[in-house]
Amino acid sequence: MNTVIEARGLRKAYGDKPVLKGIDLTLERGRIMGLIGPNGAGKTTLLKGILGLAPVEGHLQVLGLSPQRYRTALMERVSFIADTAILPGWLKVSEALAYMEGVHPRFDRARAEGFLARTGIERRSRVKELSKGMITQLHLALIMAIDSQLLVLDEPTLGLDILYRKQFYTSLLNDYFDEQKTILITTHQVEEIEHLLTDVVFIGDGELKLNSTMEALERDFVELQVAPEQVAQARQLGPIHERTMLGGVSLIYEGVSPQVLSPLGEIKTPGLADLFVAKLQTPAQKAASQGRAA
Amino acid sequence: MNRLPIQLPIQFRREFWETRGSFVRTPIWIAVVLAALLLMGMVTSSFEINMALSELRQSPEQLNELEDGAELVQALMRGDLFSNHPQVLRMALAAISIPFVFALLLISQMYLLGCLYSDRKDKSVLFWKSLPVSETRVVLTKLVFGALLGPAIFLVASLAVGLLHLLMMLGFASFQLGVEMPGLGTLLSTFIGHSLGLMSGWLLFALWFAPLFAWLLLASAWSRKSPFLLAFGLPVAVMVVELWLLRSVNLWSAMWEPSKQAFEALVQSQLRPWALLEHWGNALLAPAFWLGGLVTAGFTAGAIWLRNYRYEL
Repeated sequence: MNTVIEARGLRKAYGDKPVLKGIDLTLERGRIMGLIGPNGAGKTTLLKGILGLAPVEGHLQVLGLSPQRYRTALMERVSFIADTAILPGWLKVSEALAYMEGVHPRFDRARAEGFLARTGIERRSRVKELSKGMITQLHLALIMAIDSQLLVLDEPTLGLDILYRKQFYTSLLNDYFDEQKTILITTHQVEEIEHLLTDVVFIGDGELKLNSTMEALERDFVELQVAPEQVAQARQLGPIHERTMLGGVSLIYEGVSPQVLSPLGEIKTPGLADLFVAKLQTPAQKAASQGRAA
Repeated sequence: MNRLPIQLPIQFRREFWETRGSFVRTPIWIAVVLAALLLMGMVTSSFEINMALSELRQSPEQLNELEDGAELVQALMRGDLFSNHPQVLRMALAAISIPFVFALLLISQMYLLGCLYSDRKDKSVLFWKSLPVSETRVVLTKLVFGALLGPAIFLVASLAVGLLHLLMMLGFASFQLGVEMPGLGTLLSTFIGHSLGLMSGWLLFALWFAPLFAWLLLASAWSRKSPFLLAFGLPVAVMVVELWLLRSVNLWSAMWEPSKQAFEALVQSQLRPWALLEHWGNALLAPAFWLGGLVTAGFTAGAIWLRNYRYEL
């Protein structure tokens, strides 16, 4: 079975306010998907649905099971770090290791010890004696030592300094990930995960604004940088986004061939952050930014 | 205190880790303080008792003022206190268990009231929920821990200090006052009887009290802001409304009756440890005992349901 997450027409509303407006999503084994969206876009609700922590309407299966009904069984094969999840202050590092070893059949204590050895965290320390960054490191060490089929990371590096963030993502790829595993990750630091994703999903206002593999993204979107005199001509080709930059304008096109664009200026694959802005801007915001550009 | 002599299932060890302060250190401190007080008391009282006894020997008419105690003091002076009044030995043990039981009552209720609330408050609940441990297992573990397993250390500490008290009393009475020592058989049977009585008494107490324990657990899982307010405020409010509208006190009786039985069982098994079977028989034959079991099951199921299906995270 290769489909890790299968969602069709997921809906959810809090009172009158719809949070998810019919989400279709498929995640295959061996992929690393970035779920990117502004605050309040429905990101957290979607993740909670996938983890069985909140009920959602529609068809949803994780590793072939309904996450709400089989939550406990799923947690043997799915691991996650929620952005708000905090290790309890009274817990000692040694106890955390012993507990995980005791309750989790797929927890590899030696691996966790190996991850911890790279940090300065001592076994006898309590969580409340550790710094915020160390607590995150401990949590990541515990979770990465689980041989799970799906790892869900919600803002995993929040509060970590840039050195450790880089180290974490390197370690995630080298020490954790393999073709049997699947990762779903959300973060605000889009640039940091861009290079490791195989799939990317933009969510805004309860809908998917983009759902693509990274290869398809390179094919479908082109960023064109033109000098001011070519802007009028470039605009006629229907850019989905433009922004002023030093010495010219940068425009993003969807479904326009690079051959058509290249005579006008320099072309490249747009960064995820720019693409995100292009896809999630409201018409009003778009008008404002174009007004400035013009 | 990380290494327990017996390896408990991991879920129970987790509870011990979390409650080291209340369920492990508190009974040890009470034991240390009581033992210190007993030793200090023995030093001072050895003078006082000797003085009082010599005074009584000179003017025996003062004995009459002691009323019920007169016979005990006479026995003490005669030197046959322990053979004629073996209940003195039992009381030496039972007296020590009182402070332990009072502290235990407070701590076990505080624990149950907080245990399904604190992880939501400190937001560690999502960490626990990321592990393959069902809420049924979590809630049942906490109920059994708060009512039975956590109290075990208190009871053991109480027995240890009780034994110390007994030995000190015997040593003092025989070496200082020349009272005849009771036989080893009497001593052993008194101590074993008291130990069994205390264990059985607490077990019986916990079973009678189980609906209230489970109510605290439910309040702990239910509350968003203050489990204490919910656990005590809600029943009080309902009682007031009941009294006002129906002029009845059924809820109060429903709570009072099992509590009374629970305390009665605890006290009786200390006073008459040899009548254990009778205490158990009384409980098992009482419909209220079984009704309480049903209520306990209902409250516990409610707490499990809330943990599974109330989404507030």
